[in-house]
Amino acid sequence: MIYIGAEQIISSLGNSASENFNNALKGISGVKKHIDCNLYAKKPLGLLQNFELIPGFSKVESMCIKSGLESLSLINNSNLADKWLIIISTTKGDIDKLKGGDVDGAKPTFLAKRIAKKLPIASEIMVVSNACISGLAATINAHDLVKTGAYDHVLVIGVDVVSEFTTLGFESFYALSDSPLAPFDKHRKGLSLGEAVSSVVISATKELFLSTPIKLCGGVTTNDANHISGPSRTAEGLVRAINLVLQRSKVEASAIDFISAHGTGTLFNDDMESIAFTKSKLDKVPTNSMKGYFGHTLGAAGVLELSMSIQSIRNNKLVKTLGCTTPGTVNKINILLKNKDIPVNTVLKTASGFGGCNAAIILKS
Amino acid sequence: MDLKEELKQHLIEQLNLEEVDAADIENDAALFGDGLGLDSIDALELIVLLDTHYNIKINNPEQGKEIFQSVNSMAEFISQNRD
Amino acid sequence: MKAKAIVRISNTKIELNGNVQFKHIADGRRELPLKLIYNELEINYPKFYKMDNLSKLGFLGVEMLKKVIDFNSFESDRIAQIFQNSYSSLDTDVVHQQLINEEKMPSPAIFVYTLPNIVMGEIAIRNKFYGENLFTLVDEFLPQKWIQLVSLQFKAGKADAVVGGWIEIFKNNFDLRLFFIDKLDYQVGFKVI
Repeated sequence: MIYIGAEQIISSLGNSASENFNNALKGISGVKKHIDCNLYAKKPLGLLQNFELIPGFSKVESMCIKSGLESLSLINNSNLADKWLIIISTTKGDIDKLKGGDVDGAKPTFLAKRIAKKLPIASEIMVVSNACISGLAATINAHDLVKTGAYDHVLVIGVDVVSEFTTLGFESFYALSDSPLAPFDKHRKGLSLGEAVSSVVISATKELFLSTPIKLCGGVTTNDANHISGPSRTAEGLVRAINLVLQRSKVEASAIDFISAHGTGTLFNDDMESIAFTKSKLDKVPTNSMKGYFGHTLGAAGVLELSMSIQSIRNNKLVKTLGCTTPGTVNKINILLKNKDIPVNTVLKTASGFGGCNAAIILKS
Repeated sequence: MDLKEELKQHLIEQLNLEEVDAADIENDAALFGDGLGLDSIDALELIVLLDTHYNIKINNPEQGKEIFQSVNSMAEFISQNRD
Repeated sequence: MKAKAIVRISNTKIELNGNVQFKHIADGRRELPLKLIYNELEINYPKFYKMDNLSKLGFLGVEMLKKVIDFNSFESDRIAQIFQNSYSSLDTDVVHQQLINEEKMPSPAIFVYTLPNIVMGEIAIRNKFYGENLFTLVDEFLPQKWIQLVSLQFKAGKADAVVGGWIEIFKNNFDLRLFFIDKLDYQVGFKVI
């Protein structure tokens, strides 16, 4: 069995997984219009508040180092000498360095090396850059590597910051909503970007973790093979990912207690997910998107939302889909409009991204 | 150069239609659908084309459906809205 | 593990399974020969012209593989894609950044390619690859490390073949080392080329 735990989050909602989860339970959102700042997008954003840089390190590096250190403090330090891998999941890393022409500094591998040097584990490093499924893809890769004994433990750090590069790019797609994103809502108008870092540890050693870890049953990635920026209208890529992960984890659709969906607040993505969940017979399962709390954090999203799902399992509480007032997707699914206290034992986490990619992971208590 | 001919050159360049000649594009032919095989990204690129070459800004991409139906409809819109 | 097929496209080589292809193109020229290779392969795929250089390079490499591999002999979701590079999509990122620096309107057609995994999307669309896809960034290509990722697919029963390898491009420097690995060859346990 492979385990996942030591979850850590630094976001617009707080600096630890529990702080983020508790603020989400209170219905607090980190997504706001920042009219007093000289920002390149006059759209709502989920920005970190009062984040202190580590002297000599960029914001992205500082976020990863702080989160990684925190996560590693949640495991037994006698295991720090084992065989580790660090996977950084990011879509653009330190892309702001490109503005001044620093191409080498903008390479995510450069970022990864500088982060690894500050963490108390001697480890190999890898960066996963797979659009919005990066976080899940990194976690799935970590699971498979640990399962085959390639490494004892893997630290996955998912990160992305709100940047001029990305914001203006999404603006060219008219993808950014004027008001904070409303996932799965009838009147949704697009996404809101956010920034965050989240870390998790994956290992086959249950005793590694200071708090009981969660079972990571594995995951699947697929491709729609249809269009590079629009999700498939028939959702076959996501359906395939969901069905394969259920099959390989030997979990029936009826056993899923909760779905943490991708739910970006765009017309096409949310419709596509509603079709996928319906085709997979999951339309009655309590489902949310957590992006209303953080914004779409791109390379961090998969890890961040997995960490929040782990918190849901730990607390047997589901958070509502903040931003959604009246669900309205092509197919009717069970969107959580209120927090819910129920036993949360088996969770499906999904994500989809540019390039036609999809990912699905199953967690169990 | 006539606006429609100019527009066809811009279309070919902006949308990377390398194997297409201006002569192949009929003024009243549907740009989307079978003809040129344009997709949703091309529709957004046409908005950039209007801004870059004719200084016309579109705030709502939905307007594009009518404007970009054909070379004729594009030329008409440009004539009415350019400065 | 033996590769069933290998394609090399770089500033000095265009090779399929070690055999020189299109010699008149591969003569040490410094500019990108992508359009020339496309013409030589006589493919009719206008979408090619919309791709960025990274996607064109990967797309053409796989087209060359098809001369010796029949993808139809595999189930469409059982061919995984695993690619790596160190420059990510920076070759296209600089173009998007340039538009921003010049205060011009960003181009959605360029922005969509500012993610390295898009090349796998283009390859998937062309070849109907519905299966696993992973893009990782590493400093340099270490075949044993790439093979380790390939072996995960086979050990976990996720794929029957893997297409991928090293796909680096930045400005006029490019290096594609593309492999096709069949699960059956992996099980026999040959040394990787």
